[in-house]
Amino acid sequence: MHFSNSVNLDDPKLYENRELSWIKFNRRVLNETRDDGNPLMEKVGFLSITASNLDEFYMVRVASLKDMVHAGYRKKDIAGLTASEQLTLINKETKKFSSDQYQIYNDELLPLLEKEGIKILSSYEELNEEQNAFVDKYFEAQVYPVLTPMAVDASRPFPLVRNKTLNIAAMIQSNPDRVGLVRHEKKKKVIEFATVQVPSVLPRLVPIPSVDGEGETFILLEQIIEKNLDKLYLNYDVVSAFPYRIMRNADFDIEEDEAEDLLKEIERQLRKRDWGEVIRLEVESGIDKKLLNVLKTNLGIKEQDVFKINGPIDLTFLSKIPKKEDRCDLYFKPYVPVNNPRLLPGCDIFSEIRKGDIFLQHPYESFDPVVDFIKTAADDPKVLAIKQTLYRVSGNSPIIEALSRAALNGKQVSVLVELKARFDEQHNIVWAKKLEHAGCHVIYGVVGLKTHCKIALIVRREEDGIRRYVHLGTGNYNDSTAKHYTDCGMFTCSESYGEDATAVFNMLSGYSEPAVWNRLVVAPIWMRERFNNMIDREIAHAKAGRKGLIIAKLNSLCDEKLIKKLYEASQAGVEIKLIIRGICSLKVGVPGVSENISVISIVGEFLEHARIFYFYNDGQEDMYLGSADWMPRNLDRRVEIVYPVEDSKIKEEVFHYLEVELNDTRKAYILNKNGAYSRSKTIDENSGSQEIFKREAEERLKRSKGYGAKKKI
Amino acid sequence: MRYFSSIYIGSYAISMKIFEIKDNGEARELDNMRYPIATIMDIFDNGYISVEKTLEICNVLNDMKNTMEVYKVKDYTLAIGSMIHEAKNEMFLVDQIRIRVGLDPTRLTNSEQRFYEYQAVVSGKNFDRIAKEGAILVDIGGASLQLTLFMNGAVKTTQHLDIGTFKMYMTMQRLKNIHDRNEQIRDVVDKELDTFLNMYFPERHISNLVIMADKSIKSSKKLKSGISYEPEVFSDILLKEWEDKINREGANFSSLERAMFILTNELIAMIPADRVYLPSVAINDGIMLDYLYETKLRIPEHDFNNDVISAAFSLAERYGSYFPHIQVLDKLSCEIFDIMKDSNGMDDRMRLMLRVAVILHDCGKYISISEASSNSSRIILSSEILGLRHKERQMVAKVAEYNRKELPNYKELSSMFTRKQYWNIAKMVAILRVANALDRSHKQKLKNVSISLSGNELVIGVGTQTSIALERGLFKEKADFFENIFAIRPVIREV
Repeated sequence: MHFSNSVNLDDPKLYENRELSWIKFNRRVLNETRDDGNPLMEKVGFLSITASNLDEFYMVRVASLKDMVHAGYRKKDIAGLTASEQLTLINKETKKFSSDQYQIYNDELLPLLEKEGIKILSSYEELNEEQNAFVDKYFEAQVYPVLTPMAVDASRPFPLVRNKTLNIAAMIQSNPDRVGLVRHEKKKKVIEFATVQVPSVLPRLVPIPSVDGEGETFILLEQIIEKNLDKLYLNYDVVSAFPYRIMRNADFDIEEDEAEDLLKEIERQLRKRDWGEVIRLEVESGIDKKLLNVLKTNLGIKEQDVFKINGPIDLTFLSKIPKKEDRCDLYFKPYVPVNNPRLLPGCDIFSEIRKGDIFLQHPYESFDPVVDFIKTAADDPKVLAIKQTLYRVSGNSPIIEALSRAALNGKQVSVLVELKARFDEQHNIVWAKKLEHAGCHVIYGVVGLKTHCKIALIVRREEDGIRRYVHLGTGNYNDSTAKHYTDCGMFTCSESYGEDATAVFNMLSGYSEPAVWNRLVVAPIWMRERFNNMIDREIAHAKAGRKGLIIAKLNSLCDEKLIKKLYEASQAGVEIKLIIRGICSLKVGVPGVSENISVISIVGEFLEHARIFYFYNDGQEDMYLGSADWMPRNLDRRVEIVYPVEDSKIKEEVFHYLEVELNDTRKAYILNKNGAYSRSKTIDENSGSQEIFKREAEERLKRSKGYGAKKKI
Repeated sequence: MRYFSSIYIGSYAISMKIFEIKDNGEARELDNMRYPIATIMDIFDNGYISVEKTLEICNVLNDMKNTMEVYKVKDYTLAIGSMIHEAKNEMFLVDQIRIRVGLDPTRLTNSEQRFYEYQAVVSGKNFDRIAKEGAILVDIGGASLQLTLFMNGAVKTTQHLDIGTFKMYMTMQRLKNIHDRNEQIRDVVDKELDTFLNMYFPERHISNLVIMADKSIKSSKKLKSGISYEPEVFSDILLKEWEDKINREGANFSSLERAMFILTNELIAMIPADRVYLPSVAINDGIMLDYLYETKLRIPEHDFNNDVISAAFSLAERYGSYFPHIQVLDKLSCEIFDIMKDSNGMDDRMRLMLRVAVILHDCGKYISISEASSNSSRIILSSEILGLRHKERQMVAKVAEYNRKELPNYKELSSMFTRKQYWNIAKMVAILRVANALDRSHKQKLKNVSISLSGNELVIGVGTQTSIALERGLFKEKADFFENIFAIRPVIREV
């Protein structure tokens, strides 16, 4: 169907605010706690994820909006909202969201957990005599030594309350009759404010003896402290005590141009994170009004930013409930990634790559070959150099270890470490130093841009000359998250990719970009234009009466120009199918604008993370994989790579991947005209794409000679 | 398999290409690094390269050296562009590179630099066809433009114009407060180009305009190398891009880029051509090719010697040389050279220099007949002959000069030439003198001579029909000199 182009595509009504769209995404995650297909402990896990997601959202997105308000920034977003208007709407939505979280926690999950023999006590008042004794003993032996109680009065200013830490605020009243270190000369009783941080070195969930010795019972650490608070303030009476938590602005800007040593500058800024503006205060509902006022005044927070929580603050503790090994039914069936049939353990990885490009689908297929790629290179005498970008790596990364070993083995190892990877800054500084110490050449990237692309290059001297092996991915080089995130990767030794990979690393090292790229599409300079051109091409096909089809799988879509271009394509009759896990600022089904666009969002056991782009191109079917979303930050402020798939067999696999996801009615949500997400009216229980991919990966391995070579857990 | 690194320090950047070279001379580019650093700014601002920039250059070179080590590169050329010579402390830079990097730089003269660039361009697969159709190759540098005119597949002339991108930028800076400074700049460019075109190319229409650029075109995102454009399309793209930049960057749009756009656009306007080509090669490719030719790993497909000879004849024509005389001398001297070369360690490069010296030996008569040799020498020194290195051109000039004047002893020329170069000059002078003596009357009486070696004699066999009394009379003196040099005496015998 063709439409006239008379609609004004700049109309803010055609766009959804990205923050509100994100909250909808978190709501979809929250909905997983109600999906009966999910075992109980996984539901609990999803609730915990929504909590940690919300924390991050506040520290970064809300913080940045607050910065805009402070700076008097009046520019409206694509949905026509000022920062202040956005904050009001976010506040309303997140409060509702938070209320829903606790409704699920209190009314749905706690009873279900109790039914399964897991009891989490909400208050110390629920303890029986035996438990009371246990808790007090635990307090004296384990907790008391690590507490630093602080009181506030005229001579002692309000202390620094650290970001995201849980604390207990109390009103205490001096009692001259009680014996303590501080003697009150005057007989007058004085009420003071006191605060103590719940120590993060101790587990939040403390197992205590169960009633009748059945099942497991836990109490939260803050409850134990609250119960024993009078032991911290010896000559005071505790008038009231409530837990609280603050969220600070963790979004910092670095003046890279002026920073002589980026590493040192980031270390300095990280220390400042603890002093950022307080942007949210969470307190237990029912908190003493006076206590709340003291907190509000001293933390400089307004009423609308106070979240009164109907339950324990910070639900991320739920992910720490010890695993019940004898109750497999409470968890997802453990999935062990299978081997890619072409990269079986013990194979010669380089010789396999020489036979043709290899496509990997994580986590259905193991990430081990990617780690082995670097490990093998580290010890291979023919390898001359290894170059790799690292954004987020696992705690004890085997890749870091292999890179260090390679450097010690005399290879030239260049590693681009993105120090600005949010919330991984500290972690990245540590291993960047470790790599430097091992003799690797550590590059900190291009000034003003985050390096988000995932690329590894191995230069090998072979009999017929230098050969370059390249791995390109859609996800981080993180062996730990690769088990939970769906990503795609490709190995190739094609000369054109090798040349481009070399040019990428030269560019990241401060050299000029090449005049032309053979294959790779690189942001920020070239990618936006390329996507535009490819969409324009589909528009031209559609206008000429040929089929126009775009399928894109992304994490987020909020780039105004690209959305506009997609609207134009829809108007021209191009069919657009989008699979967007998270933010989607595009609206579907708007008459004359987006009637040919459909959006689904898959939320499941694994975090959907791969980015795949498909353009029908009059039957030529161009496909790209990569690290970039369609967000302004990816296209304009990051170094990203999107790479074409050229091997016809891999193209078939990629297309199949998209088809399966598009046909998923089990775990997919459909974005409706009204902006809400809902399940399909007809659900095929067997259409869950993640389950299909698991099965297919196993079948692929079975069909190959490598059957039986499945990795041991 | 061997690996070669070609590094070039230019006006705006340091660039390095690493090549893998097979035994058959096939080369594959493995790495290509380009680091923008406007050394030219320092030179024009202060006359020298700052310490900070020197250290930055050394750091970049060290990084490039590390990359060379990755590929286990042993052979390299680190060339310093001719523009850098204008820095008063150029020797300091060279010394610092040796000390801090451990690489040994080669200082390129303008002609060597242009030749490397030219060598890279003409090695392109279509170039011979383009040159046959007629082409002007414009090499846009920071300090100057080099224009080379090809007619019928060979070089007709090459000229150096003092209007490089950076010089234009400096002029623009001076005209900062003048309202129509763009027009002023256009006038400067037009005037220089006009002079060149009037003198060498009055036809004013060429099939192909080939533009090599250090920076101007390379800063364009839309114009692609290795592609030919219709001039109008080329101009449109360029102007569109310029407008976009101005719209986007406003006052920040740098004067340097402005100067580059104006210069390139004026070239297109002033030299009407059917097609505009942007070769996809850089000077680093030319340096690599030179390495391949020098090491005999590859024989050039393009006849560079023919370009040199063609350019020499064009120059001779410009200065009114008497062609029948220089043609017969060219033939005679080549025959003498060829018969002598094996026993005297003379190579093909020297044969080329000798031919140029022969072709241009009396072009100085255009200025003054009595001072012909000295003037010939001056003309040779001040004319670009694409394909001859600067030192080679100096040697050719000396050969022309000492055709008539007495060759001084080595001591007098030792500041300019090595002992070997001096001896080669002497050998070429000896051959030129003998050949010249054989056509003293400029009447080509000895068109059909036979030359052979017999013991210690170079026997020049002539027919008996013609009177060669004049030639015989003057021959003895030349023969004495020749004998002193080669220990072989030229003799004329009637056969």
